Amino acid sequence: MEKELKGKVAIVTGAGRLRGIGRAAAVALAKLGADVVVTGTGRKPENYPEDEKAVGWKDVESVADLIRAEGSKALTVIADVTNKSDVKNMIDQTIKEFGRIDILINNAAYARAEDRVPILDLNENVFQKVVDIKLTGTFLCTKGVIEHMIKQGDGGKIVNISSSAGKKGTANFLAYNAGNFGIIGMTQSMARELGPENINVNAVCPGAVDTSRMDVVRDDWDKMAANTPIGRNGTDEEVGDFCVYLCTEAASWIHGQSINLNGGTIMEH
Amino acid sequence: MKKELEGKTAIVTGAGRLRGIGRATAVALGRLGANIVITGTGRDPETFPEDEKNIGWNDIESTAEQIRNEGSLAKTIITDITKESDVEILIQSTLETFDSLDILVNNAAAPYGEDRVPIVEIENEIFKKVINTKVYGSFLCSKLAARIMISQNTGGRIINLSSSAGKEGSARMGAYNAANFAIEGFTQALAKELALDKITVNSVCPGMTETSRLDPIGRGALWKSRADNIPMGRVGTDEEVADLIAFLSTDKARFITGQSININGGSVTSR
Repeated sequence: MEKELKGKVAIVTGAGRLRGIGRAAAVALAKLGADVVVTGTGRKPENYPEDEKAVGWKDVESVADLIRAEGSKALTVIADVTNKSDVKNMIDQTIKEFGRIDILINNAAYARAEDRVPILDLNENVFQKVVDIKLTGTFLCTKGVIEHMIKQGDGGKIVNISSSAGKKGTANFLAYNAGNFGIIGMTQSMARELGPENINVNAVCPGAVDTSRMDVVRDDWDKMAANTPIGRNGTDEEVGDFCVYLCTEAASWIHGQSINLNGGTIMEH
Repeated sequence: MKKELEGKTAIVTGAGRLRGIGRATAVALGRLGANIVITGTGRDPETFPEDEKNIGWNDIESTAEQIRNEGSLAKTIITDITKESDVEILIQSTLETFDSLDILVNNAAAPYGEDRVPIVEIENEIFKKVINTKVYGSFLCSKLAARIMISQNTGGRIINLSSSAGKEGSARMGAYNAANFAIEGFTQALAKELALDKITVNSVCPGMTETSRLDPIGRGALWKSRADNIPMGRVGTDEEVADLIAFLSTDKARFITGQSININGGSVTSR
């Protein structure tokens, strides 16, 4: 049986971590047969978490190896998604290598840490960085990609990664709340514009997920798990699998939605 | 390769129509390898739509045949899900036939029709019937099914059919709005109660879907103008809704619980 996404080309931004939603989504896409372009910012190896260092992890290059191990083609691009020429280069390279783009997963986000402070302590440059990567990055990548999807004329799939923080405000989450609420608004707007082109646009809103992004909150990790109705936090693969479900043909009538994936912590729409 | 739901048993209520979410769901779950129990109310063949009559459709028996054609086992049980004794029989015969109960899809609903009038005009009995089938029926089935799932201690899935009408009120839809909003509240409560038993509970909220349920509004100008107002520019199919239910039924969806997920081509997005 032919794999479901055979012949499709996907871009996943922010996919360089060993433990991360970007990696999980990229590999899950490859499992279904898609060729995958993965981007990262070119993190410095000395900043890698210990487990990445221990296995000789090489950022997006290692993710590309995982994609190839599934029998798909992979391309790595170092890109700052807030930089217009970087995004253009990412798209040009994708087209040059694979000839088309069918799927975009807007996953890149600013690293968690210095933004988790009260508004009075929140540095404006940090605020701007969080909002810029999430919103301007998603805007630029989407804008660049849909040009090709519209020209290709056979639809497309865009999945934006938001968060529980896109549904509910929390103390010390100001910048992250703004970025993720923004993603949901953009998702609804893009869905209305792109529906007639058969381009599905949805957001996925994970709760606490076991990724290296969360290494800064390991002291509270068990407490967060206990506060989740199902009694545990999520895995990157659970989120990756759902993102990829939204990229299948079967999910074409799911459109404009921002879907929670959180073990029951938040049920607000 | 082992199918994703092999060894699992699912009940899908209200699965007797040729064009319907219940039938499509039962077949989709069967395709993934699950044993399927389907219920209907034993509709009078004289009331079947023309297309069902033309092909000799035989209600849930025909759905069962479609499931068997996918290579899965199927059992049919005529059930009034608003009667506790009927629901007890449904659960008991499921266990007698298939030994376990892992997935419940609460799909049954009162037919579209006499309830679509202003609230000041709606017959009390009609209002009660809509609420009773949807809310009380889903409650009875969930209560008895969840008890079994808890005792099996192998997790489970409960998926409730709500609707766009569970997110947004509309004139002439008072009873249906009340029932579907209630389903979502019920979904959230049950999800929290069953979470530690690894039983996820979610709702699926379809927009306008091509099923015989919507035959009373015809397929003329009204249908077309409503379809044109959907951002995707078309109505959905029973199979698209079924596919989301099937995804929620798999192990992959184990971190999704308490949600009421819209599948509507973009018509309702903000709730």
